[in-house]
Amino acid sequence: MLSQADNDLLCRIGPGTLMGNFFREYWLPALQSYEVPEPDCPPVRIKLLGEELIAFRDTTGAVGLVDNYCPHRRASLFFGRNEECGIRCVYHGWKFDVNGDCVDMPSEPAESNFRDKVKIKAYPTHERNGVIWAYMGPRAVPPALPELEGNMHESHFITVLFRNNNWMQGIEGEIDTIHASILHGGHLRPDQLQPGSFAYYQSKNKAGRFKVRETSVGTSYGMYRVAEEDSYYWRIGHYLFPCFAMPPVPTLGREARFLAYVPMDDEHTLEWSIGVREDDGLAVAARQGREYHNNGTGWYDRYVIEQCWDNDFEIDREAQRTMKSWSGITGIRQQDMAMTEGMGTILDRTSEHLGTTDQMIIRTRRKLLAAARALAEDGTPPPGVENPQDYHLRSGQVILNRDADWWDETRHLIERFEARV
Amino acid sequence: MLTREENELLCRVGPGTPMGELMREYWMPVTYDWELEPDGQPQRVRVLGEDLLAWRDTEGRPAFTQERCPHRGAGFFFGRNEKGGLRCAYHGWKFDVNGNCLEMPNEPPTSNFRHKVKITAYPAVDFGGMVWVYMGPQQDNPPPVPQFEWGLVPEEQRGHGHRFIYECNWMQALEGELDSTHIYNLHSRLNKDDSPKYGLYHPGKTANFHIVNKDYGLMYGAERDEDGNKYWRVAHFLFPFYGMFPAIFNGIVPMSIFLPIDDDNTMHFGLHWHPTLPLQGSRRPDFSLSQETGVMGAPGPMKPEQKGKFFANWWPQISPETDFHMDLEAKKTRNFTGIPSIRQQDAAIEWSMGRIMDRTREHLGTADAAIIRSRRKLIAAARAFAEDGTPPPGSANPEWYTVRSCETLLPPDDDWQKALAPWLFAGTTDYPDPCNTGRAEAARSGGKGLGTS
Repeated sequence: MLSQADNDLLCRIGPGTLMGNFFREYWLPALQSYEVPEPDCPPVRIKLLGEELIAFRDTTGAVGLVDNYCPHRRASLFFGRNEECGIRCVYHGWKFDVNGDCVDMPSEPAESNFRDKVKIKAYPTHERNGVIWAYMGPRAVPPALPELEGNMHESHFITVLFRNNNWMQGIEGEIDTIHASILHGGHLRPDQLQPGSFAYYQSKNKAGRFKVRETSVGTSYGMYRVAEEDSYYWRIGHYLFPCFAMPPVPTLGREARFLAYVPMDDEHTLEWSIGVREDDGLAVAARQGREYHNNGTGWYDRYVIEQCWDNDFEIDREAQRTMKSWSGITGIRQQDMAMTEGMGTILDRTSEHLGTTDQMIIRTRRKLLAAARALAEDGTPPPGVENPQDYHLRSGQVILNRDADWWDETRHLIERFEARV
Repeated sequence: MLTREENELLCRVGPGTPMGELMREYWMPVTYDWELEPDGQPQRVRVLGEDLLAWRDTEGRPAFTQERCPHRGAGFFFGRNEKGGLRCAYHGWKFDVNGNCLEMPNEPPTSNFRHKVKITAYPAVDFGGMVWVYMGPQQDNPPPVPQFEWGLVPEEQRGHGHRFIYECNWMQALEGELDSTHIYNLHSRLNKDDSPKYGLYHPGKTANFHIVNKDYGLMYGAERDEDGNKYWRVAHFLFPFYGMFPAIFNGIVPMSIFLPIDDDNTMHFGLHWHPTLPLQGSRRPDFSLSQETGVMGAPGPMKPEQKGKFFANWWPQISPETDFHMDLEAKKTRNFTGIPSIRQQDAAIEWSMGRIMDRTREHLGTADAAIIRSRRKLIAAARAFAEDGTPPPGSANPEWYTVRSCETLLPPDDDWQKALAPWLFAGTTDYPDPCNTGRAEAARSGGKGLGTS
């Protein structure tokens, strides 16, 4: 449970908010490379941390991310002309390059030096293996990109999904690992499953116990249940500042993959899933049934799927009743969306009731609030910003002897890192 | 005319408002009983600004419970209604109709956390084909349900004629019910000699109003001259949101309910009953839409299920988005508004006043006396309850609600209250008809021998 003040502090990320300032210290995934596929292609509307921005790829292939509003008379640059190394407002022809410098002002007399005095807000971008990252922070020289391995190999997969709620609800759903055995797997019985498999132990035992530890870039958990007489089944996952998570989807250590819950604004989020392997059964299952609409040009028209609040996520009550499916909703993510959107766009954390299995959520919130306050109060550099290599982590499921220390025993798997820096 | 403060006090019904607290002292009808099947799909409802789920457990017990799970706030709507309780789909927490947590499968078996968590579960009861909720402070010992005659007669003597959402505040909908002189204006046909299917007709567009204070609210008689006798229409307002406009010739008594969904939306139920005879009608509302403008009839079909919204099945197609299907040709030649069906004519007018009508700018005349008086009573009762806990009228007196309305002809010198009291207060089942117009016989025989008008 949080106070109303803490809840607002935790969730709200607009310009000038405490958490907004904290987020702006980090690089964030803003769009995929293919959304601006070639030099001088049409610009794209991007909502990020509550700001309305325009992304464009200039003649040299560099990606610009600038204010939606032309500084002259506030016309939208979405309608602009992307040509000869800059985006030009169609209203009076003012033109800006990817650095935000005004390179042409045809409406002013030739002798005017007004153009040297005007800049447009422009954020640094960095393109890495199909993802265009943005840095919206105060540093003149941005920090290095976080070394999230999922995005550090040339061959990888990316899926993005529009979520109609606050980013923190997404993160909390991701680190709330125990719901997997209920929301996603409540219909499974042990006799339907391969004895000795992770799913088998999970269905045998819905309840679980948690270990939580802090890392230099966030928090990690091991959730364990009885497996055999001498062993436990562990689900090990991570939260990484400010909005990254690694859920225990594969066998521990087997793959590099991460999720990002990137706030578009306080009430809308883009969920990114970026990983090296695409053939993992659970990762594929997570994308089941997603029918994407074509991306449109509106602020909230990217990565929207057919199942949504306005069609009750196409819940099938008959399938629910007959236990063909626990929830009656097709698709693991869509099940998650029904939960997080059902909370309202910003969850009221003054009225929740957290139990022992919510420790990871509780600790993560505390860490986030403390780190955001430390930045605001004495400029403490946000965790991880100056240590990009601390993001070298992997998550997953594993069976361990009952007397094994979950962290020490698996550290070589958790910290396995195979990308070239 | 009201001051802004009075208007706010009158209209707003959320938790903590004076009128909202007043309403919470009463049982309120929320859904039809057949909408909730044992172990069936929970329904999203909103009452007095509170979002709730309505459902029925395996044994058939109805429930109104909080919309979101107390654990992590997920919506129960997606939950599983099974084996004596509603289970959140997220982590499987399961609650019974009384709000007790029955299971918490994600917590260790040794945990006693489930005994510490409850959800809001308001008392719920089936009565008169409806499921009622009590949201007031006496959760363990609620008052009895108001004893409307339509809940006491056998089911086949009752009909649920119509139901739909008004996208406006409850009070302006109720005021429409108490506004007797609009009947032969708004709902009229243009030509006296045309078929009654084009609308109502009476040459007396106004009337003399006699308003009587009652324990349950008020009663009024509208008096008009007719062929040397007096034509009386007698109606009631009952606390907190019921209107009973005049019964019709064959003894069928109508009733209108204006349940506040929130400050901006109202659920209207129309139903009717006969004190002695079975009716032809159905327990379910009539969704057919007459092709002829001005016909007394149903408000037409609903929109397809409005998923994601409260009361998803009760949003009417005839609505502001279609200008209420106003037919300009019909308006020119035969009907006063060109809007199909009486109820949609009412809805169009009440909607057109805005979500919450601004009563600082109205101009009320003598014909609006019933409206003025019922507002005053509501405001006074809400203030008295807030200030010194005076029990709201009728909240503890279920028997006061066994009343009927009527319309009939009386000899010019008859005292209308005395003449009509036996029927109005259910002392007799004989329809009052001292002028021998055929009404009494029609009421006894189920309407045979008289045409509808």
